[in-house]
Amino acid sequence: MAGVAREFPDLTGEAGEVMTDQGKISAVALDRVSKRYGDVEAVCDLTLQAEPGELLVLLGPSGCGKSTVLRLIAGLESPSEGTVRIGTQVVNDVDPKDRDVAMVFQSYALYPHLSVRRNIEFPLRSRHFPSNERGELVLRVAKSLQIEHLLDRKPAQLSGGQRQRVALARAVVRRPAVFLLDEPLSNLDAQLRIEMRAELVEMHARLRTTSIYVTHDQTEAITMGHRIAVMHDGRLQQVGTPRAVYEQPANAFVAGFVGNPPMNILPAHITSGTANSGGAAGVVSANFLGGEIALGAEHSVALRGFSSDEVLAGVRAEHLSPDPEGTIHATVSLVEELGDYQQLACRLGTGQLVTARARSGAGTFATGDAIALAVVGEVHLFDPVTSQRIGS
Amino acid sequence: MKADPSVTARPRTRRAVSVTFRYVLLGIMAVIIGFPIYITVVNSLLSAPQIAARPPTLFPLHPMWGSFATAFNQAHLGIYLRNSMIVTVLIMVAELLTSILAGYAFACVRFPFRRTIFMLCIATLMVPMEATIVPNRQTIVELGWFNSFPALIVPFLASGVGIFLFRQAFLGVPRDLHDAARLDGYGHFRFLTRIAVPLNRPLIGAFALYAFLSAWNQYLWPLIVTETNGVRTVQIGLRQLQALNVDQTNVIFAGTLLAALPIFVLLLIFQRQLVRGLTAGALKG
Repeated sequence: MAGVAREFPDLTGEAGEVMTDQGKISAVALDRVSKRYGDVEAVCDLTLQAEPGELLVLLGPSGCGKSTVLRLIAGLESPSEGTVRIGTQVVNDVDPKDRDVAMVFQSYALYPHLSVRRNIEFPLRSRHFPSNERGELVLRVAKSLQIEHLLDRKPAQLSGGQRQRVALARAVVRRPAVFLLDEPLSNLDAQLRIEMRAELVEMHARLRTTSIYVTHDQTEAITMGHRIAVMHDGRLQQVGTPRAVYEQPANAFVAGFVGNPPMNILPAHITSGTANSGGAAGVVSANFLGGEIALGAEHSVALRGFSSDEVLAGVRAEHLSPDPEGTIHATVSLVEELGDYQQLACRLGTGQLVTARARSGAGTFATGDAIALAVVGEVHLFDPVTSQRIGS
Repeated sequence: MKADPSVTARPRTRRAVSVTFRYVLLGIMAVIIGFPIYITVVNSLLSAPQIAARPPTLFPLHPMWGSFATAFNQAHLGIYLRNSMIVTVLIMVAELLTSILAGYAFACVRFPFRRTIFMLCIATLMVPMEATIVPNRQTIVELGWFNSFPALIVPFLASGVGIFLFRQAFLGVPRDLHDAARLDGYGHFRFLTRIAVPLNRPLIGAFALYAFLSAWNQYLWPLIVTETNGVRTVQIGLRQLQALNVDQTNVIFAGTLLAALPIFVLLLIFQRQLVRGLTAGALKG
């Protein structure tokens, strides 16, 4: 797993708002929120809460409704149903400027005709901050983001990373109660993205402002978020810490979307250990990927109420390894050298492709090699009809 | 390894030939466009017999500036120029205002029948002026505006071309900019004046010039809705100058130059804006 769950400061106040030395920090809560555009339902019955001071990541593929959620919170869209609450206040009918939120856009949305200084002080000017205070705040935030030498330039004269910093500075400068970040790193190159990711996490740790961060990049979500909310087709699939989402995906979609490489999810047939299949209770075995595998005893309980023997079984790449004794036979299609392990894309006899990992020392593999694979870790079971996880 | 000099020399020569050819072509075109203007200037500084003489005089050795004074005073060009300036400036400002406001509304404000109303605006571009000139004149007469400045100005306060151009320009302003401004409390009017208009300054310059030229060069409409010198515009004045001074062609040439002078000045001032406005779409990164 690429990242671990981090603790966020426990700032939960009874009223959903906390005053810190940095200003007011508010919780954000969506209660049964839906958003429809004609016949299209962009967000469907979403209930989600970001605690004060939390960095909550909304993760999902393009078009899943995550940016719409952000726009609903910002007030740029009104919900068709449900309530949006910031702090103690229901904000459904509150003007965007009065919600005390700041947003960083994917395109940065810097005003091209204004200098960096004027861009950063824009939210202050529109709120009639006195001139001397404006100058001081702009300088302070510019220094903290190391852009003080760029203040007199126009956005067109800046690199992508510098524009990103200016956009952040503009959001930070007036200390809003909530930050909304809409894929802010997606226009940066890979190296810069990693650097900015770290800077964003540092900035959040410093400011402790409740932040909702939208991304389709699961690595970004796992490495940055205190919690991740995975969305698909306008619906919330799962919300939890990165570790929980990774280790116990709620359904096949989450299992396939979170994690790199995606989990191998293929049909399996329960051969023994359940009421339907017979065999000794407590020992569940399944025919998976052409071989017979033993499943953990916990599956016996989970499968007890399950009517069919046909399931979807998911195995992470790190839990599928080459093993001469293995029962799953495959041919190596691609070998990726990734430092202390090799990642193998293997073609099964049935034509399906699975990803496995071989630790260094487990041998050297080359494209075209015939190998045997064994499941060396947890197997996740999903209902083939509903895609929901079977068991805990 | 040394580069073969002939390999690098060949493209360089080809480029030089291509550049030379382009400049020669541009030079010829400049002469074709500039020659009538030059001849007008020369003829305005000659006497009428000198203009009629053959071969024509191309360099006035003894320029006679009196023709300008004659045109200005005798043919009332001064009054006509003043009238034209009033009418043109008012039309230009009004067209800019209405085009910007309507263009923004069609691009960024949601209201019922927005598309239909916009199509109606565009449809006005399809109707030639000749088709509407008689009913429009009738309306002006019925309103009691015949032979007055409102008759010259009011029918041109809005422009279909302008509305279309500004709508397209405002559609090009990214939605994120609008959203960012909304979060900072900017409504439509403040967004328009502080963000959308400054972003489209080249277009505004180009359209202002276009509106000025169109209004300044109007001839037919002012001719049919005015009848006294007090409200007539310079293009009609020029025509009268021609009729009154058939034997003094130098005065006609001088009058033509005087009538064109404001346009030259404006072109010189807004040259950069105009070029930028015309090429904005092509060059936007």
